[in-house]
Amino acid sequence: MSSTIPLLSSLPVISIDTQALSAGAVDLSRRASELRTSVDDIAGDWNGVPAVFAFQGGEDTYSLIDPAKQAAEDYATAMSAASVALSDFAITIANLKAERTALESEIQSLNRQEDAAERDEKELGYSTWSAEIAAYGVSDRVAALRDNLRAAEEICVSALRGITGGNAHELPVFDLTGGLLLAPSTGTPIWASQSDLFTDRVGDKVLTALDQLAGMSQSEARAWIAAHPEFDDAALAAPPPADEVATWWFEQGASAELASAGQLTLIAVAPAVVGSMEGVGYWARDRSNRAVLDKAIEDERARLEDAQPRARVRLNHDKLDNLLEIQASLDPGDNDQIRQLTSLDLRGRPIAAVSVGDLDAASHVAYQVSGMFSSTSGMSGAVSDAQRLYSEQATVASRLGRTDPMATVAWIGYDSPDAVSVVFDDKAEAGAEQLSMALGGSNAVGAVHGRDNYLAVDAHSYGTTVSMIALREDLGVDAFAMYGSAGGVDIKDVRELDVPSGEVYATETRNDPWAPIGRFLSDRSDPLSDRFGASEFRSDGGVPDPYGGEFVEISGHSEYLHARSESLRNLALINLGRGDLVTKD
Amino acid sequence: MQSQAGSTWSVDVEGAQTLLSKVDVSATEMCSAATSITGARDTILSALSGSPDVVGAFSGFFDERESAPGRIASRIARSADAVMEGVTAIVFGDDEMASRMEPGAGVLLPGVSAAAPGETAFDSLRFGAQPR
Repeated sequence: MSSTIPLLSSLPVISIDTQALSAGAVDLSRRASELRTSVDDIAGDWNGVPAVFAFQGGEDTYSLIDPAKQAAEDYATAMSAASVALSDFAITIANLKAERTALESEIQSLNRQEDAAERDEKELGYSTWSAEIAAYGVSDRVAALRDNLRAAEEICVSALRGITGGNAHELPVFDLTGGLLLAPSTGTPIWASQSDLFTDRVGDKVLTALDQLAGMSQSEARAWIAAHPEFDDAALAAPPPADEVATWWFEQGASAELASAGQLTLIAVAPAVVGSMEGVGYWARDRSNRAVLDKAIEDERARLEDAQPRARVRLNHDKLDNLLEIQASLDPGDNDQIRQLTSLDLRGRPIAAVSVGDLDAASHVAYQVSGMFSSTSGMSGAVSDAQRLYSEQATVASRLGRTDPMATVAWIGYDSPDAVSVVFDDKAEAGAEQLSMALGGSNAVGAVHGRDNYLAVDAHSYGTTVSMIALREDLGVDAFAMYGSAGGVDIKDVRELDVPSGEVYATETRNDPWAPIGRFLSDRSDPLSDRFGASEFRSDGGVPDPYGGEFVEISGHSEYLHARSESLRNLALINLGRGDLVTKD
Repeated sequence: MQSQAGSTWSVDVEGAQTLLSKVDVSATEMCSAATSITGARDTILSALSGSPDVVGAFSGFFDERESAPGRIASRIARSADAVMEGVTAIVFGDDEMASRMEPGAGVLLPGVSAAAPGETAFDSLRFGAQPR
């Protein structure tokens, strides 16, 4: 009998991790499919090329992605085939492992029977005979297991070697400076943002073109602009970095009084570009934007007058009303401070920013970021708020013995939400981008004048949502004050904001219904919560004013900048870097 | 969208920027998938370590295709680059651009060289010309 029981060592070793293999095979196919889907998406996006870039003979551009799409398809197909081969192999191996386990058990059982028989010879007889038959069977199965294992491996090897295509060898690897990296060890691609590269490239070209235009006569420059109608749009869509612009602009002429002929040429021939470009001196932006505004009013009036005889419905005067409102807001009235139209964007609903005080000279700059329902239809009101804040800061500065040049900015530089869209974040994301650029421009202009401005952001309602997104990054903001906040998106703690420690402030009046509703409906964080960690300041009023009299009582969502209000005083203190003096409960 | 009066050029810089942003999103996902595929390969090779023949076959299969995601990404990046060059050339219309114009034969984009007279700007991409 002993000669027929196979040795345990005759069982083939199967050390393949079938579970891991199955999981890896599934993952391989799934990831390759994801890769293909991504390239399909790119091919879908690429269908938009004819709408953004077209010229005679350039139709080949529209199909540039097609080879990549085909290569991704082939690659995914190959990976899927490999996945099937490996999965089948894993299943077969799992079955063979089960068979091996069974055989191992049976061999051990037979060995035990043999041991027992040898101990007791009386047991010799039918049972030994039966065990010997069983041993022959086991031997056959061991041999079959070995054969099946070999066959499974051969099938898998054959399947893998039989897969063709998917290597993308037909596509050359281009040397793309800055466009794409390949990980050295694996060749895995590391994508670099093409839109950023594009912005940089266009920005460089814009600055070069502006520099060349500044060297031309006005007539030459006008002719160039007329021959390049896309230039304005390009400069607005992909402006050069503010610090580069500021350095270049300052070299052209440091102030309005020292303006060069080139600067005056640019203001004359490309006012929309000069007026919008962060880093350009604010005197020039103001002059340019006023010219653009006047022209827009003239054009809109002409359009309406032209359309009037044919109009069957009442014409929409909103745009003209907004433009006129912006124009009206620039009149300082009895106030001494100059007002600058620091930005004006007429590509959609008009948006603008107006400063009270000279932004080229100010060392303390406060941006008032407007909230829900704000639009340039209320520009006069926003600038009046900025004027009141300026005046309050002047009062505080006087009390503190300070003479810092100041400016406050009524910033309606984004498309603000209404009562419905306020619960969504898309307008805040877009606004944050605009605010970042505006603050970058302020810092850049200050820097070329040799100043490190004290930069404050005062934000109201949805403006706090906008600002919190922007202030995740270092924008050189020294203090940040929120009032009637609509809440923060994915920001739970002041430490997530790149603002100096202790310089994030927040308040909310007793009867401000909109702020908590906005936060509740949008599930945004409350900057007044203990967890958030902002410094709370008072805004209700009705308490003695240290400067004399009593703060007026305010309520509701829109009275925070009311004259003689406690919140106005506290914001003025914060904007002057004296948040330590704000009133608290 | 702006178009050059009297010509067949038209370009939309903001639109191109938006389009490239979309490409960025998908291409980033593509690269992420490529990295995950490398991870799946490692898992598979580790699981197969007891079967040298299959390891050899799978390694051979994978090595043959290892550069594919990079080649695909390179093609996409080069295509985006061509659009960028084309858009900026049209917008800024510099002398280089003007000298490369051949009426009716397309624009030879900076950095994309035609192999022979009469070839369009994109032949080098279409036919997989030698890498730059």
